[in-house]
Amino acid sequence: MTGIWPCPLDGHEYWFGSDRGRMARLLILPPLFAEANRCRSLLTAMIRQLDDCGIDAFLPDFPGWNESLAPLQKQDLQNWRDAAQAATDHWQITHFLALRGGAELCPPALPGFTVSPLSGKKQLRSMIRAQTILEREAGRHRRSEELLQMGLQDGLTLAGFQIGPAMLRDLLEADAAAHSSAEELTIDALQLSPPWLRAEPGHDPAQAEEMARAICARLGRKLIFNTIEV
Amino acid sequence: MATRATCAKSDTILRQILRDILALDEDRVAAFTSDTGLFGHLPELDSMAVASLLTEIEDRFDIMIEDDEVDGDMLETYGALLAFVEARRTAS
Repeated sequence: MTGIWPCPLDGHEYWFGSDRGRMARLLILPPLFAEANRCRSLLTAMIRQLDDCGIDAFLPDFPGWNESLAPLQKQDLQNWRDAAQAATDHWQITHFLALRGGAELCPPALPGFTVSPLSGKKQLRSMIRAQTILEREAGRHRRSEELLQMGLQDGLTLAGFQIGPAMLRDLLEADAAAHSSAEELTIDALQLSPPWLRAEPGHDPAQAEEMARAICARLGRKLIFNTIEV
Repeated sequence: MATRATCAKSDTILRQILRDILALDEDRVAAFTSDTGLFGHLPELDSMAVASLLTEIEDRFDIMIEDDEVDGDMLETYGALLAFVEARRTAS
Protein backbone atom coordinates (compact mmCIF):
# COMPACT_ATOMS: atom_id res chain seq x y z
CA MET A 1 0.00 0.00 0.00
CA THR A 2 2.98 2.32 -0.26
CA GLY A 3 5.25 3.45 -3.04
CA ILE A 4 6.97 6.32 -4.79
CA TRP A 5 5.15 8.56 -7.24
CA PRO A 6 6.71 10.85 -9.87
CA CYS A 7 5.95 14.24 -8.35
CA PRO A 8 6.95 16.69 -11.12
CA LEU A 9 8.53 19.27 -8.84
CA ASP A 10 11.23 17.19 -7.24
CA GLY A 11 11.16 13.89 -9.07
CA HIS A 12 9.68 11.50 -6.57
CA GLU A 13 7.66 11.44 -3.38
CA TYR A 14 6.24 8.76 -1.11
CA TRP A 15 2.56 7.80 -1.22
CA PHE A 16 0.25 5.62 0.81
CA GLY A 17 -2.94 4.08 -0.53
CA SER A 18 -4.45 1.27 -2.56
CA ASP A 19 -4.26 1.04 -6.34
CA ARG A 20 -6.16 -1.92 -7.77
CA GLY A 21 -7.29 -0.26 -10.99
CA ARG A 22 -10.83 0.26 -9.78
CA MET A 23 -13.42 2.68 -11.12
CA ALA A 24 -13.59 4.98 -8.09
CA ARG A 25 -10.21 6.62 -7.49
CA LEU A 26 -9.96 9.09 -4.64
CA LEU A 27 -7.17 11.63 -4.11
CA ILE A 28 -6.87 12.62 -0.46
CA LEU A 29 -5.70 16.16 0.22
CA PRO A 30 -4.98 16.20 3.96
CA PRO A 31 -4.97 19.23 6.24
CA LEU A 32 -1.78 21.30 6.06
CA PHE A 33 1.08 21.66 8.55
CA ALA A 34 0.45 20.57 12.17
CA GLU A 35 -3.15 19.54 11.44
CA ALA A 36 -1.85 16.97 8.93
CA ASN A 37 0.01 15.10 11.66
CA ARG A 38 -3.10 14.93 13.81
CA CYS A 39 -5.15 13.40 10.97
CA ARG A 40 -2.69 10.95 9.44
CA SER A 41 -3.73 8.00 11.56
CA LEU A 42 -7.40 8.58 10.76
CA LEU A 43 -6.72 8.94 7.03
CA THR A 44 -4.56 5.83 6.71
CA ALA A 45 -7.18 3.79 8.61
CA MET A 46 -9.88 5.26 6.36
CA ILE A 47 -7.92 4.28 3.22
CA ARG A 48 -7.86 0.65 4.40
CA GLN A 49 -11.61 0.79 4.93
CA LEU A 50 -12.13 2.36 1.48
CA ASP A 51 -10.04 -0.43 -0.01
CA ASP A 52 -12.46 -2.95 1.50
CA CYS A 53 -15.35 -0.94 -0.03
CA GLY A 54 -13.83 -1.20 -3.53
CA ILE A 55 -12.45 2.32 -3.73
CA ASP A 56 -8.84 3.09 -4.64
CA ALA A 57 -7.52 5.93 -2.51
CA PHE A 58 -4.24 7.82 -2.68
CA LEU A 59 -2.55 9.88 0.02
CA PRO A 60 0.59 11.26 -1.64
CA ASP A 61 3.31 13.37 -0.08
CA PHE A 62 3.86 16.69 -1.77
CA PRO A 63 7.21 18.54 -1.57
CA GLY A 64 7.93 19.47 2.04
CA TRP A 65 5.32 17.08 3.52
CA ASN A 66 5.74 14.06 5.74
CA GLU A 67 8.64 11.95 4.35
CA SER A 68 9.57 14.44 1.62
CA LEU A 69 13.20 15.50 1.41
CA ALA A 70 12.30 18.78 -0.32
CA PRO A 71 12.75 21.83 1.96
CA LEU A 72 9.42 23.18 3.18
CA GLN A 73 10.68 26.77 3.21
CA LYS A 74 11.11 26.63 -0.58
CA GLN A 75 7.48 25.66 -1.20
CA ASP A 76 4.45 27.76 -2.02
CA LEU A 77 0.77 26.92 -2.50
CA GLN A 78 1.10 26.89 -6.28
CA ASN A 79 3.74 24.13 -6.03
CA TRP A 80 1.27 22.04 -4.07
CA ARG A 81 -1.62 22.83 -6.41
CA ASP A 82 0.60 21.71 -9.31
CA ALA A 83 1.45 18.54 -7.38
CA ALA A 84 -2.28 17.88 -6.76
CA GLN A 85 -2.98 18.21 -10.47
CA ALA A 86 -0.01 15.97 -11.34
CA ALA A 87 -1.23 13.34 -8.87
CA THR A 88 -4.70 13.54 -10.41
CA ASP A 89 -3.27 12.92 -13.88
CA HIS A 90 -0.83 10.23 -12.73
CA TRP A 91 -3.44 8.04 -11.01
CA GLN A 92 -6.40 9.03 -13.19
CA ILE A 93 -8.22 10.25 -10.13
CA THR A 94 -12.01 10.50 -10.33
CA HIS A 95 -12.72 12.44 -7.09
CA PHE A 96 -10.90 14.24 -4.31
CA LEU A 97 -11.42 14.35 -0.56
CA ALA A 98 -9.94 17.54 0.89
CA LEU A 99 -9.77 18.21 4.60
CA ARG A 100 -9.27 21.67 6.12
CA GLY A 101 -6.40 23.55 4.39
CA GLY A 102 -6.16 20.76 1.81
CA ALA A 103 -9.21 22.41 0.25
CA GLU A 104 -6.88 25.14 -1.07
CA LEU A 105 -5.24 22.54 -3.31
CA CYS A 106 -8.25 20.97 -5.06
CA PRO A 107 -7.77 20.50 -8.81
CA PRO A 108 -10.41 22.84 -10.26
CA ALA A 109 -11.90 20.46 -12.82
CA LEU A 110 -12.25 17.50 -10.45
CA PRO A 111 -15.42 16.71 -8.47
CA GLY A 112 -15.06 15.83 -4.83
CA PHE A 113 -15.73 16.42 -1.18
CA THR A 114 -14.43 18.83 1.42
CA VAL A 115 -14.43 18.42 5.18
CA SER A 116 -14.42 21.65 7.26
CA PRO A 117 -12.53 23.61 4.57
CA LEU A 118 -10.12 26.17 6.01
CA SER A 119 -8.87 29.12 3.98
CA GLY A 120 -5.14 29.78 3.84
CA LYS A 121 -5.77 33.14 5.46
CA LYS A 122 -7.41 31.58 8.54
CA GLN A 123 -4.78 28.86 8.69
CA LEU A 124 -2.03 31.45 8.78
CA ARG A 125 -3.84 33.51 11.43
CA SER A 126 -4.03 30.51 13.73
CA MET A 127 -0.38 29.54 13.21
CA ILE A 128 0.88 33.07 13.81
CA ARG A 129 -1.28 33.30 16.93
CA ALA A 130 0.30 30.09 18.26
CA GLN A 131 3.71 31.63 17.63
CA THR A 132 2.84 34.87 19.46
CA ILE A 133 1.79 32.77 22.48
CA LEU A 134 5.04 30.78 22.35
CA GLU A 135 7.06 34.01 22.01
CA ARG A 136 5.25 35.50 24.99
CA GLU A 137 6.09 32.45 27.08
CA ALA A 138 9.74 32.96 26.11
CA GLY A 139 9.54 36.56 27.33
CA ARG A 140 9.32 38.16 23.88
CA HIS A 141 6.27 40.23 23.10
CA ARG A 142 5.72 40.25 19.38
CA ARG A 143 2.40 41.07 17.79
CA SER A 144 0.96 39.00 14.96
CA GLU A 145 1.41 41.84 12.49
CA GLU A 146 5.08 42.24 13.45
CA LEU A 147 5.74 38.51 13.01
CA LEU A 148 3.97 38.52 9.65
CA GLN A 149 6.02 41.45 8.35
CA MET A 150 9.24 39.73 9.47
CA GLY A 151 8.09 36.55 7.75
CA LEU A 152 7.29 38.26 4.48
CA GLN A 153 10.92 39.38 4.35
CA ASP A 154 12.80 36.34 5.63
CA GLY A 155 10.29 33.57 6.28
CA LEU A 156 9.04 32.35 9.67
CA THR A 157 9.17 29.21 11.76
CA LEU A 158 5.62 28.63 12.93
CA ALA A 159 5.01 25.76 15.35
CA GLY A 160 8.18 24.10 14.04
CA PHE A 161 7.26 24.52 10.36
CA GLN A 162 9.64 26.65 8.32
CA ILE A 163 7.44 28.76 6.07
CA GLY A 164 9.10 30.84 3.36
CA PRO A 165 8.01 34.31 2.24
CA ALA A 166 6.32 32.96 -0.93
CA MET A 167 4.16 30.53 1.07
CA LEU A 168 3.24 33.27 3.54
CA ARG A 169 2.12 35.53 0.69
CA ASP A 170 0.11 32.70 -0.88
CA LEU A 171 -1.59 31.80 2.41
CA LEU A 172 -2.45 35.45 3.07
CA GLU A 173 -4.23 35.66 -0.25
CA ALA A 174 -5.78 32.20 -0.21
CA ASP A 175 -9.39 32.76 0.65
CA ALA A 176 -11.06 30.36 -1.71
CA ALA A 177 -11.21 27.20 0.35
CA ALA A 178 -14.72 26.55 -0.90
CA HIS A 179 -14.51 24.53 -4.11
CA SER A 180 -17.41 25.39 -6.36
CA SER A 181 -18.29 21.84 -7.34
CA ALA A 182 -17.30 20.13 -4.08
CA GLU A 183 -19.82 18.64 -1.70
CA GLU A 184 -19.04 19.66 1.87
CA LEU A 185 -19.26 16.82 4.36
CA THR A 186 -19.96 18.26 7.78
CA ILE A 187 -18.41 16.89 10.92
CA ASP A 188 -21.93 16.27 12.22
CA ALA A 189 -22.85 14.21 9.16
CA LEU A 190 -19.64 12.23 9.56
CA GLN A 191 -20.15 11.94 13.33
CA LEU A 192 -16.58 13.14 13.57
CA SER A 193 -14.85 14.56 16.60
CA PRO A 194 -12.46 16.83 14.66
CA PRO A 195 -9.06 15.12 14.85
CA TRP A 196 -7.29 18.21 13.50
CA LEU A 197 -8.15 20.08 16.70
CA ARG A 198 -6.73 17.49 19.02
CA ALA A 199 -3.76 18.61 21.07
CA GLU A 200 -2.37 15.06 20.68
CA PRO A 201 -2.95 12.82 17.65
CA GLY A 202 -5.26 9.93 18.43
CA HIS A 203 -6.29 6.65 16.85
CA ASP A 204 -10.00 6.11 16.35
CA PRO A 205 -10.92 3.18 14.06
CA ALA A 206 -14.65 3.81 14.52
CA GLN A 207 -14.34 7.31 13.08
CA ALA A 208 -12.27 6.04 10.16
CA GLU A 209 -14.98 3.49 9.43
CA GLU A 210 -17.71 6.13 9.64
CA MET A 211 -15.86 8.41 7.20
CA ALA A 212 -15.20 5.55 4.78
CA ARG A 213 -18.86 4.53 4.93
CA ALA A 214 -20.03 8.08 4.17
CA ILE A 215 -17.65 8.37 1.21
CA CYS A 216 -18.56 4.92 -0.15
CA ALA A 217 -22.25 5.80 -0.04
CA ARG A 218 -21.75 9.09 -1.86
CA LEU A 219 -19.20 7.81 -4.41
CA GLY A 220 -21.35 4.80 -5.15
CA ARG A 221 -24.31 7.06 -5.92
CA LYS A 222 -22.21 9.39 -8.06
CA LEU A 223 -20.70 6.55 -10.08
CA ILE A 224 -24.11 4.96 -10.72
CA PHE A 225 -25.53 8.35 -11.69
CA ASN A 226 -22.62 9.04 -14.08
CA THR A 227 -22.98 5.61 -15.70
CA ILE A 228 -26.70 6.19 -16.27
CA GLU A 229 -25.97 9.64 -17.74
CA VAL A 230 -23.41 8.19 -20.18
CA MET B 1 -28.11 42.44 26.03
CA ALA B 2 -27.42 38.72 25.93
CA THR B 3 -30.56 36.71 26.67
CA ARG B 4 -30.60 33.62 28.85
CA ALA B 5 -31.11 31.49 25.72
CA THR B 6 -28.07 33.04 24.01
CA CYS B 7 -25.96 32.42 27.12
CA ALA B 8 -27.07 28.80 27.27
CA LYS B 9 -26.19 28.37 23.60
CA SER B 10 -22.75 29.92 24.08
CA ASP B 11 -22.18 27.62 27.04
CA THR B 12 -23.06 24.55 24.96
CA ILE B 13 -20.86 25.58 22.02
CA LEU B 14 -17.92 26.49 24.26
CA ARG B 15 -18.06 23.14 26.06
CA GLN B 16 -18.19 21.40 22.66
CA ILE B 17 -15.11 23.30 21.48
CA LEU B 18 -13.16 22.43 24.62
CA ARG B 19 -14.19 18.80 24.25
CA ASP B 20 -13.08 18.72 20.61
CA ILE B 21 -9.75 20.44 21.20
CA LEU B 22 -8.68 18.80 24.42
CA ALA B 23 -10.13 15.36 23.62
CA LEU B 24 -11.85 15.33 26.99
CA ASP B 25 -14.79 13.04 27.58
CA GLU B 26 -18.27 14.47 27.64
CA ASP B 27 -18.89 13.90 31.36
CA ARG B 28 -15.72 15.72 32.34
CA VAL B 29 -16.58 18.80 30.26
CA ALA B 30 -20.22 18.71 31.42
CA ALA B 31 -18.94 18.91 35.01
CA PHE B 32 -17.05 22.19 34.36
CA THR B 33 -18.28 25.03 36.58
CA SER B 34 -17.49 28.74 36.35
CA ASP B 35 -14.58 28.16 38.71
CA THR B 36 -13.02 25.24 36.82
CA GLY B 37 -9.43 26.22 36.06
CA LEU B 38 -8.31 26.14 32.40
CA PHE B 39 -4.87 27.44 31.39
CA GLY B 40 -2.31 26.20 33.91
CA HIS B 41 -4.81 23.72 35.35
CA LEU B 42 -5.56 21.42 32.42
CA PRO B 43 -2.34 19.79 31.18
CA GLU B 44 -4.00 19.26 27.78
CA LEU B 45 -4.34 23.04 27.30
CA ASP B 46 -0.84 23.97 26.16
CA SER B 47 0.13 26.98 24.03
CA MET B 48 -0.70 25.27 20.75
CA ALA B 49 -4.07 24.17 22.10
CA VAL B 50 -4.76 27.75 23.23
CA ALA B 51 -4.16 28.98 19.68
CA SER B 52 -6.51 26.32 18.29
CA LEU B 53 -9.08 27.15 20.96
CA LEU B 54 -9.09 30.87 20.15
CA THR B 55 -9.29 30.27 16.40
CA GLU B 56 -12.15 27.83 16.85
CA ILE B 57 -13.98 30.30 19.13
CA GLU B 58 -13.57 32.97 16.42
CA ASP B 59 -14.95 30.60 13.83
CA ARG B 60 -17.93 29.17 15.67
CA PHE B 61 -19.02 32.45 17.32
CA ASP B 62 -18.13 34.62 14.31
CA ILE B 63 -16.06 37.06 16.39
CA MET B 64 -12.48 38.34 16.14
CA ILE B 65 -10.03 38.11 19.04
CA GLU B 66 -7.07 40.49 18.96
CA ASP B 67 -3.61 39.77 20.40
CA ASP B 68 -4.13 42.29 23.22
CA GLU B 69 -7.25 40.52 24.43
CA VAL B 70 -5.47 37.23 25.04
CA ASP B 71 -4.24 37.18 28.61
CA GLY B 72 -4.07 34.92 31.62
CA ASP B 73 -7.29 36.26 33.14
CA MET B 74 -9.39 35.39 30.12
CA LEU B 75 -8.17 31.79 30.17
CA GLU B 76 -7.95 31.40 33.93
CA THR B 77 -11.33 29.71 34.43
CA TYR B 78 -14.18 28.36 32.36
CA GLY B 79 -16.43 31.15 33.70
CA ALA B 80 -13.96 33.85 32.62
CA LEU B 81 -13.72 32.43 29.10
CA LEU B 82 -17.49 32.14 28.79
CA ALA B 83 -17.93 35.72 30.04
CA PHE B 84 -15.39 36.93 27.46
CA VAL B 85 -17.22 35.15 24.64
CA GLU B 86 -20.59 36.49 25.82
CA ALA B 87 -19.26 40.05 26.00
CA ARG B 88 -17.83 39.81 22.49
CA ARG B 89 -21.01 38.31 21.08
CA THR B 90 -23.08 41.08 22.63
CA ALA B 91 -20.72 43.74 21.28
CA SER B 92 -20.71 42.42 17.72
